Amino acid sequence: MRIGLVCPYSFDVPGGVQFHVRDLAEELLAQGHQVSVLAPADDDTPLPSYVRPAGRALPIRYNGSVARVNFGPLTAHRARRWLIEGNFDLLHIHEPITPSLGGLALIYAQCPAVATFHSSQTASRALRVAYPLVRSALEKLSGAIAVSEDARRTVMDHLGLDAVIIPNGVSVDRFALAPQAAQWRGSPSRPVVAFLGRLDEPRKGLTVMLAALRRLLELFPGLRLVVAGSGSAEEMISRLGPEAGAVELAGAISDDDKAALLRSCSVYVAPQLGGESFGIVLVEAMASGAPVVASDLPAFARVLDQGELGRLFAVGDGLALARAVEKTLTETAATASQIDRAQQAVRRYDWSVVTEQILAVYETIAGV
Amino acid sequence: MDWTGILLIAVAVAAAVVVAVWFGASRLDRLHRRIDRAQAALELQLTRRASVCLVLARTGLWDQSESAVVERAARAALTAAPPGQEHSELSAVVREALAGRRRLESAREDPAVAGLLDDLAGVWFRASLARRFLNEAVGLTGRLRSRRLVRFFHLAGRAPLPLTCDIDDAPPESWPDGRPGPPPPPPEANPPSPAACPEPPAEF
Repeated sequence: MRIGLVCPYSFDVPGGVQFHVRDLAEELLAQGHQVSVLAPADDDTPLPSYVRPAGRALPIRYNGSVARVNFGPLTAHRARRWLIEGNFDLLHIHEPITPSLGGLALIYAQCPAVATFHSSQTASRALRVAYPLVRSALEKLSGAIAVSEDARRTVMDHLGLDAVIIPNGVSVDRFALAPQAAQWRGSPSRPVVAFLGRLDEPRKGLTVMLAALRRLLELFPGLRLVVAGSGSAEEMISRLGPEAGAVELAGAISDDDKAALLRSCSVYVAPQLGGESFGIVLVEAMASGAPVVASDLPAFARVLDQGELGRLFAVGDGLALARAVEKTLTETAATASQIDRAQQAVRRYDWSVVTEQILAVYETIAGV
Repeated sequence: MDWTGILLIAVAVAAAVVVAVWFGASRLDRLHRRIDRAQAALELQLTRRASVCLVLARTGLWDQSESAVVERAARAALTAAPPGQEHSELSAVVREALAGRRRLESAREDPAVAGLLDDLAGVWFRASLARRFLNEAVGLTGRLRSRRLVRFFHLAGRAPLPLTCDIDDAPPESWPDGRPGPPPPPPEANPPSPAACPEPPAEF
């Protein structure tokens, strides 16, 4: 099939939607489909060969983080030309509600179109505002996909659309088989707690993690907290006092380093405060065999099967986080069985399974 | 107000109505075409599903009487036009016939049967997707057609009010998510656990 994917966010900034679109494009290409991705980017940004830049992106605040999107006559012209040249059998638009490329592509599209809705909760205000503007364009969608039950509910409540749930994909084996890294390997006397996420984004919950640190160091004096992610946290850490010595800032790390960190650490902690619709890092951690401790957000509780596959703690509660980490590190038999079950369960998020399901949607809509 | 003013207002109102009608009519036309496409897609997937069931019934997966029941249901579904409750019947029959999980596992040892079972899972999933997509389009069309503007100007013409399709397509219980994709891997096919890797495992 000739498939056109539209990503509303710039490829040079890391983000869940961008990674999803990139991985999906590569999976589809590997299966012999023709794929082109339209994404905001400057003309001189180095991009994979299958990405068509749609022009410079402007930063806007969206869902608690800064997203780079674009809109305007030049972008519209480029979107239109891309559609004509691509002559697609099917158009797959990601996050069609953002005032961006997706909406433009949908307006000009002549072929059947499907959309994936990624976000939930905080994004709903944006949905409500945008709805009257995009309603008639949304009617052109032959089908809608939501990445999680939470994203589906948001789409239903605010757009009145039904959506099929197909989760985000993860290359399970890449994480399951990744080499470990000696500098991050935990031991009983020096357990390693891993935190991943942009540091300056409050909803990623680094403050909750740091609030738990004092208690954790009382329990495990040798404990190390490895904090990986872009952004600056020096100020937050300088306010910590003596515990600051247990924190190691790894900065923004590569995909390989992320896999190595998850494979090596004693426990991965996801203290997010909200705005999460899926929790892909939880799946990556589970695939790596790292025990997971996560805040009790609906999306996380679902990925962890209500606490069967990892431990949940009350959102924003540092002491509860510390207790969950303590249990994970001391109740080793229970933790080991959770890891086993988690490694089984993440198979359903593997790209092989997810691509198969997305292709089923494509083929159903294209009528082939 | 003089006559020119009244005339100008009348022209402006008429123009606004024309634009609204044109906009409504094109939306409706697009939805009707979407329904046609969705209906064709649903019929295609249902036909394929029945065909796979028919082939499966001849493989020896089931005993003679079960095979006969499946074959009869599949034939009835294939000859039904337009697709209707015959497909619900087929779903029920096949669900019943696939209920014994242990026997299914032994049947999968035959690669031809395993391939057909995978095909069935894939096409079953597609049929249920097609039905959801159709019903979604029907719902949107119904909402639009109940608008006053659309009714007043008879924008829907003589197109019959589209109906949702309520075929029972709940998947067999033995399919994990009712979806295609690899069946739950047998123990030896699991990804190696950290302990099985050359590096020393992470300790707590």
